[in-house]
Amino acid sequence: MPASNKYLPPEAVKRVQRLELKARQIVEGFLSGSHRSPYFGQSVEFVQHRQYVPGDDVRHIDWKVWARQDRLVVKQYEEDTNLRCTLMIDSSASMSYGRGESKFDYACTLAACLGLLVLRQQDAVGSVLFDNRIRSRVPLRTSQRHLQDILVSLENAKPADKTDLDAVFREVMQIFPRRGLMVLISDLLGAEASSLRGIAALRQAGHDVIVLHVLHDDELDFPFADPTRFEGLESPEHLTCNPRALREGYLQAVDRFLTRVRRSCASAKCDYVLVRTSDAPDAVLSKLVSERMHANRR
Amino acid sequence: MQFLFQPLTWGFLLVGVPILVHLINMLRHRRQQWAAMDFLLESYRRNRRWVMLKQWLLLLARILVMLLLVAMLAQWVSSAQWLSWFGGQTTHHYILLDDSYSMRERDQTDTPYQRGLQAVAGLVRSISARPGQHQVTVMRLSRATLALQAEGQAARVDAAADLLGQSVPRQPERLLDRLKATGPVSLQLAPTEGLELLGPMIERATEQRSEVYLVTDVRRNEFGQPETLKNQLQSMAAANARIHLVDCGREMAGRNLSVVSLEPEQEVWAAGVPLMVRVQVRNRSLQTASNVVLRVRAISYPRGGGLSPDPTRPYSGDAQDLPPVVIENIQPGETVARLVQVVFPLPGTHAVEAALPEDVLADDNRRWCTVAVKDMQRVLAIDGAADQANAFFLEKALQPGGNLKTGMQVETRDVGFLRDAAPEVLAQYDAIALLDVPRLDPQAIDKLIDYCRGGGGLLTLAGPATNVEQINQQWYRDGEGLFPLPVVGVDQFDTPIGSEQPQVQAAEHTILAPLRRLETSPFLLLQIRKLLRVEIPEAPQRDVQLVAVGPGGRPLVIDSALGAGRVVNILTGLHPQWSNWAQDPTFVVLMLRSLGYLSSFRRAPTGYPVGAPIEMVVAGTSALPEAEVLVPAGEQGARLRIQRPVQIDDDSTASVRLEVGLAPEQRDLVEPLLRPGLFEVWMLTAQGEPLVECLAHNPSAAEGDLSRVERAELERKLAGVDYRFHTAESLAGTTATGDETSPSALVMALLGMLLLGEQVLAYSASFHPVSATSGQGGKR
Repeated sequence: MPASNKYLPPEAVKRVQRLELKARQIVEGFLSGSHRSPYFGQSVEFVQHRQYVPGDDVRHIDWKVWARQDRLVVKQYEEDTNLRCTLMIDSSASMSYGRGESKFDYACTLAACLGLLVLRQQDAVGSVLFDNRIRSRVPLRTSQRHLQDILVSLENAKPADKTDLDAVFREVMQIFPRRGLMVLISDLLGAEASSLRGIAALRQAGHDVIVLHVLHDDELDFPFADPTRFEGLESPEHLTCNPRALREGYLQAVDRFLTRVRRSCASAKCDYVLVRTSDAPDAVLSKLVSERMHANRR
Repeated sequence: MQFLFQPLTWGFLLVGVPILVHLINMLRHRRQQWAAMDFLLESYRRNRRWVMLKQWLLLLARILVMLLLVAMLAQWVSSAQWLSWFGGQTTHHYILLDDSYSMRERDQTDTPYQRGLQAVAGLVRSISARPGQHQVTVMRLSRATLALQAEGQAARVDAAADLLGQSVPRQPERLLDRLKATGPVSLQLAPTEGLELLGPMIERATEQRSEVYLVTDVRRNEFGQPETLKNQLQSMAAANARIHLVDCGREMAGRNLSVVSLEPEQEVWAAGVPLMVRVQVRNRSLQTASNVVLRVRAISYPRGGGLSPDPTRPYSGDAQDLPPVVIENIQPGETVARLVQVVFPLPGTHAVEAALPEDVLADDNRRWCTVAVKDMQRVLAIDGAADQANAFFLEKALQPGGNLKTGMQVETRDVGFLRDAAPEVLAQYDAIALLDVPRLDPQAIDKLIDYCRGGGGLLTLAGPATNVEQINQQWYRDGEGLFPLPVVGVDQFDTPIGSEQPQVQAAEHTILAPLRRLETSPFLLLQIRKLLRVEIPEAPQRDVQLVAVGPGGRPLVIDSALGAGRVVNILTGLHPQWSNWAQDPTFVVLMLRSLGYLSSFRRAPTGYPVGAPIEMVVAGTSALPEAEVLVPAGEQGARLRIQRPVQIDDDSTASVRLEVGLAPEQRDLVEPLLRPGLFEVWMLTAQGEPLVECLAHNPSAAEGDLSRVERAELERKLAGVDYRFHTAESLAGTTATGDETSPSALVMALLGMLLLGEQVLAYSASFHPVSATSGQGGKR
């Protein structure tokens, strides 16, 4: 099956192409577009005056101010730039959970849809696959054919090893020094503390961060009934137990975990979306885009 | 620990099943790759103890359920009260039913026995409605008494009980069908015998509760002196048995007379000789009985009289009604004796029946006796006098000649005859008289002692030849010989002329009893001149009775027991130097009565108690191999004929015997053989001549006493015994309500709840499959 069909189902494509993903924060880009840039350039939207310094383009001097106040200032305008969106997909072993479509498959579908969405609005998109380090990387491009590179990268990935987001994010910030939109698609399992630290670090670096927290329905509902031997995907630990007896305690632990993640994201001013693998990917993206547009208006 | 259905206890092995299931469930689990192990481990750490506890509780619940189920199915029997809730404890109800003939006392409506049966039926009905397992054993006292005569404890209870350990069904009506057809028997029965039989059984049955019901009419005969009964009841109470006394008697409502005895006098029983039969009637009612008509009937079974067994008639012999005896008044509690003269013209075993009019209790209104009448009774006379004068006088007294028949035949022999005669020869004589015998060989003395010990009678007469030294050395033998007392010497008495006081007086003894009733002493002319002096000590070595006293109150005639026989010693002689008794009329009376008396101890009993074995022995005659026994008729119908084989011994002795027994082959004959009346045993000789033996079976006269022990008195007498008193009416009215809530049902509900709890626990512990809700990627 071609990678485009595996991760981009036609009905999802049909719904996603009508969406528009906008950066909530100021992002950097080469092309003028619909997103505000941290750089001041030629634009219609005046921002401020600044004292002239030698070297400034004399075309930007505001002569009317000079005539009235006898001092040289230059006019600065907010520059529109294109979106630089980096899709960070967790490919640790824990993402392999799920019969048929695993969490990783679901995350890839989300990533593909987002990539398609970004490229449709002439923005640049790249991807990073990681576990405890970056396993593969696709640079930022705006070319429509660039999506295929991303899909191939996803297709070739196999979930393995543990998650270490702290280290991965430091590496990402070095690779992508310019501020952009970072979309983290992960279950955040196995490395909660490092993940939250990494997210905070990304925000401090000025990136707009979206966390798509992908969890399998089993992980949220724990529907097991029969005696089961649970074996860790990222750890050698195992437990033979009576699932019904442990269900309540498990769900409480999961709830506490989600609460901690939500609070961390909120304090870092990240967008956080808890995604069930049973949710339709396009519905998840629709919800995400809708919430961001609503947030931008505020 | 005992179970009613022992084989089901193998089911306890099923306890291993929950353990096995538990172990299998621990091994049988799916494998599941899992990402969120941290949360799972956190939950496990928090809930580990509770999870373990639930597992153990589940295992325990399953084992408990299995144990309870098997215990309920196998019916655990225990004496513990709480176990009755599980339906496993068994209560054994022992019902002892008094079927003595006093239970046949006829009331206006029913009898105590019928009320007893109704009480038993009501009791069984109430038992059937009670919760728990119940068994009932019903035993009649008559069967218990018969069983006690048998051997082997276990076999006795099995054979005696009408119902033995029978489980009580919810509809118990048919359980007592067999008992309803029963009735009292003509026996005097004490509850002690039934309790004696049941006692060991109750003491052994420690795993079950025991309740003992004594259904009786509480007569004074059995409960007047209840020491043994009290001890037995206390022993049973100590063995955790609950005692119930069910009174089915009532106050006597009418006249009750009893023929308490019917005995031929101890005199000559010979063909054609009048025989006096003494009959005693007791008034057991509370009012004076007037004009009591006693009907007496003589039934003749003459030997060779051409009789044959005839079951259609009450008796096969010729029955002849004698003039009835009318007793004018009998005071309450008084016993009146009458003598009835009966003459049987031919030898044979005849019978006499005495019957009173019907009253409230029929069993004691009739009585029978048999009389083995001989052609003549033979007396051996050994005369020590050279002129045989003593024998002459004896012969004249016993065989006066003419038409007068005394039934005695005297054969006179010399002393040497005793030395040479074989014991069998001596045994042919009904009595032996030693008339002034000076000396006997020790062998002869031994033979005479053996003769007496075998039931024979010996009369000794003193005289001039009497050797005191010989008597003391050979005859006395320290009180075990022919003289019961040593002879101290010979006293001489002067003859008072014209004395108005007789020298001799008759003592209280049957021999001279007719002479005591005379207004004027018959001994006025009797003169005793010499007398062997003996002294009767206060505690003689053997039974010595005075028959007559002589001058100075010295013993003149003494009677003593020697083995089964008797010895009458006349301490004076017939010689004129000793007395003039030979010429005195009282001598004839003395001889006839003495020898008649002495000949009576080898006779067969004239009657037997009801239930005694029926036996006929014929010696020296060849008999056909089958005999027939005619049993007296019951309340209805003809007499029963029973064919029995004849046992013929090597010495041509033919015998037939019929016993009451509880063996299976004898069981049908128990009731007929316990009837009172005249049993006829018939044999046929090889020549076709019928031989008949009559046996009179009489009920115990004491049982006819219907006086009762009232409840207050009973409580005093049985003080210290924990028992409950019921009336038969109160138990007979008991009905099964059927709406009682059974604790067993409650326990069943509890067991159901336990099972439900087990299911919930098991669901919680994940050992139950659920619908396919988990779509996880696990693999088994």
